Amino acid sequence: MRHPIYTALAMLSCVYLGYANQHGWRMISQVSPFRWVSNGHGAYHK
Amino acid sequence: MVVRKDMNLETLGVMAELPPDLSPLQLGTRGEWNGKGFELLGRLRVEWDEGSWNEWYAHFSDGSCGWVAESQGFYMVSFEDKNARIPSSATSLGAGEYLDLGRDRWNVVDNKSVRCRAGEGELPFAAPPGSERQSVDFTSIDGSFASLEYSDNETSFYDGSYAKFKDLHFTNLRPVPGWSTDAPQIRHQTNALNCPNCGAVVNLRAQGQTMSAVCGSCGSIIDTSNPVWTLVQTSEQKVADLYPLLEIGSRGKLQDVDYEVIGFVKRSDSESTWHEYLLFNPWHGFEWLVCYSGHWSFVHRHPEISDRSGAAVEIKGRKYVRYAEYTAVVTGVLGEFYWKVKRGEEAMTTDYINPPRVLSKEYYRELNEFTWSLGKYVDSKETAAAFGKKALPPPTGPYLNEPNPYAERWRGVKTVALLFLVIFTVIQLVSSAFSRHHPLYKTDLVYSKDDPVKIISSPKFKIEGGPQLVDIRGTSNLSNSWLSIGVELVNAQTNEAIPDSIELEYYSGSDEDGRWSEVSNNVVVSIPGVKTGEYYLNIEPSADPALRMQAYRIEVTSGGVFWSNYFFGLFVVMIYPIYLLFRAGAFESRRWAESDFSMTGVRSS
Repeated sequence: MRHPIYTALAMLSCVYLGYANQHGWRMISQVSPFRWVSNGHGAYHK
Repeated sequence: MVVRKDMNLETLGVMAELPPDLSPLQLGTRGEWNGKGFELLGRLRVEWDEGSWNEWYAHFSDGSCGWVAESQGFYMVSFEDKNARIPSSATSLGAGEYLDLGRDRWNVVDNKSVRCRAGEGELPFAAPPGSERQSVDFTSIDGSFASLEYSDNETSFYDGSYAKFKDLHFTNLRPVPGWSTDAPQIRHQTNALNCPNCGAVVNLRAQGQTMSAVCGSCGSIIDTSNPVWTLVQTSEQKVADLYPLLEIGSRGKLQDVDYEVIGFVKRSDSESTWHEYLLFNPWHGFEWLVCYSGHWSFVHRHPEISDRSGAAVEIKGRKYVRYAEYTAVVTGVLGEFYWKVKRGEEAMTTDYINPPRVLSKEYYRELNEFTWSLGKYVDSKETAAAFGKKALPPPTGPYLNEPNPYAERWRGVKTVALLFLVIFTVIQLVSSAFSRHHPLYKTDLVYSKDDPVKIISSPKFKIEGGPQLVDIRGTSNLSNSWLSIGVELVNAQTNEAIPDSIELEYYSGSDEDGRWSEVSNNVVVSIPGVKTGEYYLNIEPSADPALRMQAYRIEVTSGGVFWSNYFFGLFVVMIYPIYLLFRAGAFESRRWAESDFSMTGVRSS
C-alpha cells in the first residue's frame, strides 16, 4: 500500500459517514461544549 | 582461415592479424537463439570509415548457418535470404528511405562502404583483407534487422533480429581483461599507445570497441581504429577546462550492471549546454548518462527503431510526444568513443517525451545516419551512489523527462480516491434512501401582537429508534415582514433542552434593476443526534413590530441524513488528490513552457 495514511483516512471517512448517518449526527457541529436545560421559560447554560 | 563450401573445407592460409578487442566472444562460444543452439565457427572483422565491428559465423543446431553481428554491445542474428528479390534501386537508398519487399517494409538506417579487416576460423566465403563491398542496414517497424550487401559480383540479403546479450545464452565466453576475475591479462598492459601529436601516453579502456580517443594531455582526437594511430583533430581547447562530474575510468553500477566511464562529451545548442558520459561494459556494450542542470538520464541506443516522425511517436505501446527540435554541437570531448568523434560535429535532434522517459532521434548529416535512443530519468542521488560520490549538484528547474512528483503521488492515491468517491457516495445514497422522515408533531398557529401567550408548549411526542436527526420546519405566507420563532426541543424526562430559532421573512419590491424579493417563508432547523425519549416543543414567536397578526405552521419530523456530512467528508478526503492534480498540472505547464511545442507535440505559434 503506497499511501497508508490517506487510505486509512478514506476508510475511516466511509465508516464515520455510515455511522453518523445512522445516528443522525452532523459531522461539523456534532461536538458542542454546551448542554442546555429548560426552565420552562426559555433556556440557559448548564 | 578456412572457407566452408557446404561441408568441404578449403584452407586459404593465414589472414591478417585481428586487432585486439574486448569482445567477450571467441571461436567455440556457444549460445541459443529462438530455441536453436549455435556455435561460433569463424569471425570477420569489418570496418568502415567511422568504425568497425565483428561478424561471427555461426552453425546452428538445425543445420543452418547464420551470422551473429557484434557491434558496440549490440547483437544482430541474421540469415541469408536467397529468395528475396531485391530491386537494383535498393543500392542507392539513403538513410530514412524505405525498401518495400512485399510483406516487409524496411527503413534504411545507413548505406556505407565497408571492407574486410581480418578474419579467423571457418567462413562461408573468402574475404581477403581490404576487400570492399557496399552495405545497407535496415530496420522494420516491428524492430527486425536486415542488411543488404553488394559488390560488383553479387548481392546478398540477410534478415534477422536484434538481440540482447542475455537473450543469446552464451557459454564458453572469453575472459575479458580488466573485467573478468579469471582473465589472464593485466589490464592496460598492451592497450596504451602514444599520442601522434604530443607523444603522451593514451590508454584505451574499450580497445577494439572504440574508434577514437582524446589525448588527455594535448586534447587531440586520435583515430584508434587502426594499430597505427592517426590524428583526427588537434585542439586549441585545454582538456583541463572540461570538468566531468564523473571521472574517466570511474566505475559504477546502474541497473545491476557495472559500467566504466570511458568518454565525456560536452554538447551545446543555441540556448544551453549539457554533458554526456559514455559508459562501457564488455558484455552489455555502451550506454550514456546525460546530465543537464543536475538532471540525469540513463540512455540506451535503440538501433531497432525505424525512422518515424510527427507530433508523437509510439514505441512498444508507449506514446512519446515531441518536445524539442534542435541542432546539438559537440563542443568538448574527453576519453574514447565508438565513432570518430569531432569537435563541431552536429546532430539534428528531436526529443519526444513520456516522463520519466525521453526518446531522441539524431540525424548525422555527415554520416547520413539516423540513431534513436531511449533515456530514463535517474535521480542524482542514485547516480552519486552508483559512482561512489558523496553528492552531485542538485537538479535545478524543470526538465523535459523529469518525473512529475505530483503526478506520481496522484497515481499513488488515484485508485483509493476514486474508490472512496464511489463508496462514499453509495453510503450516502443508501443512508438517505433507508432513513425516511417520520412525522412527530404538526400544528397551525397564529401570531398576534396583542396575544399575551408568549410560549406555546406542544403535547408530548415520542422519538424512537435510537439517536437520530430531528427537523423542525416553520412555514408562513409573510409579506414584507418577518417572524422569528424560537423553538426548544425538550426531553420530558430529563428537562434537557435543545434551543434553536426559525427565522421567516418575505420582502419584495422594485428598483432600477427591476423587481427583487428576499423569501424565507419555509425554514427548517435540524437537530442532530436526538436520543430516544419523550419530548415536547416550546414555541416562542416574535415578529416585526408592524406585524399585527400572522398565521404560521410548525412541523416536527425525525429521520433523514445530513448531506453536509457527505460534502464535508468529500472535501476532507478529496482535497489532497485535488491538490496533487492541481500541482501536477502546474508542473506540466512549467515543463512545457520550456518547449517550442504544445503538450500534443504540435509546434506552438
